Amino acid sequence: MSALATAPFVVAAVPLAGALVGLGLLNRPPALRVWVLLTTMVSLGSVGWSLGQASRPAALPFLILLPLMAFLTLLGQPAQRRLGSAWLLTLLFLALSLGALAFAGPVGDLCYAGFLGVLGLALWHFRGESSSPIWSGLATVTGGALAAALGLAIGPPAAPALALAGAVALPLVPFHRGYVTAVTTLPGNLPAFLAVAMPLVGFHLFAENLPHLSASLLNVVAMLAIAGSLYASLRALVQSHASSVIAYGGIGLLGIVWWSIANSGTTSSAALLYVCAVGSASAGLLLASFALRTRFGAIALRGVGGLAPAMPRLAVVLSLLALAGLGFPPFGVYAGLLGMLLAPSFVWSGAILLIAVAWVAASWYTFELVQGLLFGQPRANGGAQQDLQDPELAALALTLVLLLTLGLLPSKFFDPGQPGPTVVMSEGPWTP
Amino acid sequence: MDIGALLAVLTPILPLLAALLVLSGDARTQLARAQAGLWPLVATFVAAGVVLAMVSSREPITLRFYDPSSAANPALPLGFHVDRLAAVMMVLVSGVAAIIYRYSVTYMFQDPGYRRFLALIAVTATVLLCMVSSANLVMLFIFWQMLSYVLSMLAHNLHHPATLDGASKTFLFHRLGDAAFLAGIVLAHSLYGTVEFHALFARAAEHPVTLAPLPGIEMSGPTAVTLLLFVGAMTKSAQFPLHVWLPSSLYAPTPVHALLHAGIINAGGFLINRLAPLYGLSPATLHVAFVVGTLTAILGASMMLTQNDIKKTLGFSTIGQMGYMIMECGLGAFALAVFHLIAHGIFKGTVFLNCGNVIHKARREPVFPPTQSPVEEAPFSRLAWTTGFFTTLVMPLVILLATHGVLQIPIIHAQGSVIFLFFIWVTSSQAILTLTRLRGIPSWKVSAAMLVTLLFVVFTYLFAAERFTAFLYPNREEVDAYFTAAALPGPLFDGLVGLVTLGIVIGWMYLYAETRGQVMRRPAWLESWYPPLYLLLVNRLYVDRCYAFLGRAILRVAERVERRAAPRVS
Repeated sequence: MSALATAPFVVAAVPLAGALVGLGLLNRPPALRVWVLLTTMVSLGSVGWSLGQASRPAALPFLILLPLMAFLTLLGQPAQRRLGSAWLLTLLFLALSLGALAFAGPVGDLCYAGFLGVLGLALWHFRGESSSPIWSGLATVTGGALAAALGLAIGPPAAPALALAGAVALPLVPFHRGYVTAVTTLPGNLPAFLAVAMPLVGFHLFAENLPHLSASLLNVVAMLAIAGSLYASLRALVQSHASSVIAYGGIGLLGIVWWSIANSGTTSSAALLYVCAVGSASAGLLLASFALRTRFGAIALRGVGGLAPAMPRLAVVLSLLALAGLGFPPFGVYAGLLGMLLAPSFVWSGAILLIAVAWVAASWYTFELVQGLLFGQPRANGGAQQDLQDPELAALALTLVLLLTLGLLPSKFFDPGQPGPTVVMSEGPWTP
Repeated sequence: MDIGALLAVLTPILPLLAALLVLSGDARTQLARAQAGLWPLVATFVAAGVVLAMVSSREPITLRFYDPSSAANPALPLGFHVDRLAAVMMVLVSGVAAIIYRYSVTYMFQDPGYRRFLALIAVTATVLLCMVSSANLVMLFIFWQMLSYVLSMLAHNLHHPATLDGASKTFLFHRLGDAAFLAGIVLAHSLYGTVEFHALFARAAEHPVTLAPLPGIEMSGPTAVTLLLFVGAMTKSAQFPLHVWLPSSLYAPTPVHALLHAGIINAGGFLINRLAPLYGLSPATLHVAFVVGTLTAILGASMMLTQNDIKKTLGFSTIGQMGYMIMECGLGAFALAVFHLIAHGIFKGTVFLNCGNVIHKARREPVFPPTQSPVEEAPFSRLAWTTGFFTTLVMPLVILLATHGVLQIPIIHAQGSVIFLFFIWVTSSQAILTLTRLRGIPSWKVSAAMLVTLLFVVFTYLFAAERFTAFLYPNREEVDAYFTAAALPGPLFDGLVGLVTLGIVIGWMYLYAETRGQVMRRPAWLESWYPPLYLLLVNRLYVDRCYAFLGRAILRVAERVERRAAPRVS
């Protein structure tokens, strides 16, 4: 078997093997933490190696981002026994998501179905840790897994079913409950990692099946995307916990990419960049929220505030992550959005004004979230206002660097076969 | 890279050095570092001055760090285009920033956020300098957005709830404008395939496009683009009804206002000037700008009269002045608007820097109104009043006719020239009406002051403003084209001129009666308007409350949606 053919197997096998070995270290949290970090680094190396084989250059940002974000989300985790299973699940999700992206055809779809299946099991396993019911989320994820399995069994005629499965992971209202439940109820670093992994695999699945979807179905998707984006933005305004605000905010922003794809009928690397960036920004914000949770517990937003003087490190990185998340230049979310809107394939329509409303709403709830946490009279309900520790700070700072890199990356780093996230500033010959 | 290009790049970078200098090191040396931080800002001002001198005598400086004929990353298509407009704005911004920074080094010394604040002033200078020297619409938009954020950060006080609300409102309103700006860029790119200024102007002029945004409503491509961009300008320049963020941000430290009112708020006027060729293609947008500007000028000035706090009075005065500036743009007098924003910026910056001292002094030396001895009524000065009458009403007419004869300005056919001349009259009347309040001084000095004021205003408008127009827009045909595009229908224009003339004459009559101790008869229905009008203005036309109601309504809907959609905990 040639290196080209073995690359996807290697890419998926490394984190899977790491998870299996890690089972033996469950009772030794510090060692397990080191092990999972090493595994993600080796996984990153294996992805780099596989890209050297140039098997699927289109997946470059996808593949690199996943082990990188797995590493970053694990980096700031405290070495606690109760988090061990979340770390191993991270490796398992990493293996399945890399498999879904690296393998073409049925194996990739199988990995995707497995990804949703494991997610369903994880939601079931950790159901006790959530204060709200998980059933709707569990049902959505199970439905998505079944749709993926159906697509696997039938093939191209089941493209709408696969697109539906994609809408579970790349959250599209009304199939968004799985994403919300995963991001708000799972323990440790899992929400942060899944905030990146789910949209990426969902985008990949939808993009793969896009050519088989009818124009009428795409119109429905476009309408759902706009309505869903506004709906999620509205709900983000009144959430009482940071993770819920981030989850609904992510859905509101990802609705824009659904609309863009359905509107133009094509995917572009700008859309891919946007998905990567929104996922990474959500992951960064969720990591910051996890840092607060470890200090103050799962208390509502109104119970914590005025942290900036006591936690200056957190204040700086959280403010910057929020800026990145709400689509500020020069971070990746802004670059992806502008790339999508200024792409040659973009078709102007009045719907852009509704999209602009969702964009403005992101500024509203994100700014309120950060302002409420950092400024005003200090209120922390007895929690220890200890600033971020070095690993936590490193994880968040590196996420910021990643977001900045995504925003400033030259177009040649994206898929050379597709139009990049670039704007033709001034074409020579131009015909109206 | 020649020296001009080097300076154009260096000018926005130097303030960042000041920010780094202030933020680095420990608290013991912060004063020394803050003082040292002034020098990069002074160097910025000097560099901007040199750049202005260079572009005055040669072609604009253009430097792009991307290839305009191929593709660029949309996140940061970095490039600088420094023409005369940009250079003038760079000098204004850097000069004002250096002065305010120096003032703040002492004024803010004991503030807990001293270093953050000084660094933010320097960063704001960088953002503004990059914005005014942007080589394309996307780069301009990037720094336009950054300005939105920096402004809300400047308005932040860590613990004061009202300041936090103000900062939040400021940011949200600016993001509304940013969203409209983004939509404008996307539409411009969709229609003309470029975001480079010159290519955009050329293509918009060469390829007329008609859009139908709603059934039965048609508008040209430039009109649709400029209207969307104008919403962005409205938010930055606090135009009615998007002005509410400005009074809300008045809790911020005094130097912030000096910077805001002297530099940041001018962004709207700058944007319209930068895109003047595009606006010149859209009479409809210019008319909208005229209406919005006029409304803002009238309402801003009216609301100013009812404020009882010095900073709010100045804030509403700025809103009125910005309305005046946008109105000038709407009349096609783009260069006059820039002249106005510079003059207003310097004036208002000075006033704001002084108002901290006034407040401080008032708190230390409270002056109560006398309770026993009535204030002696100042005598009426026939000399002062007669001079005022002649300088305001008679001499402008003489000057108008003289300019028609001597300077060959066709006052009948060219609305642009009439606008210039009319502004002379309005401005001088405003100044002289103020001077006539000095009625207790029946001296030749007051009369001489009136004459000098009139001559100064006339000189400024006829020569300085004309020269400035020729400097910013050397092509006279271009200036005439803007006036033509902005021209209002003849009867409407004449009616407006007549209405303002009537206003000034009635103002004189009112003043005359007041100074003679007489009461002007006013109809009862007019008298009955006063209390509700005062109530309306003192409550700022209830616009803030309308927005608050809208915000609460959105949140109520959101809560209702949330209650219905959220899974119930059993």
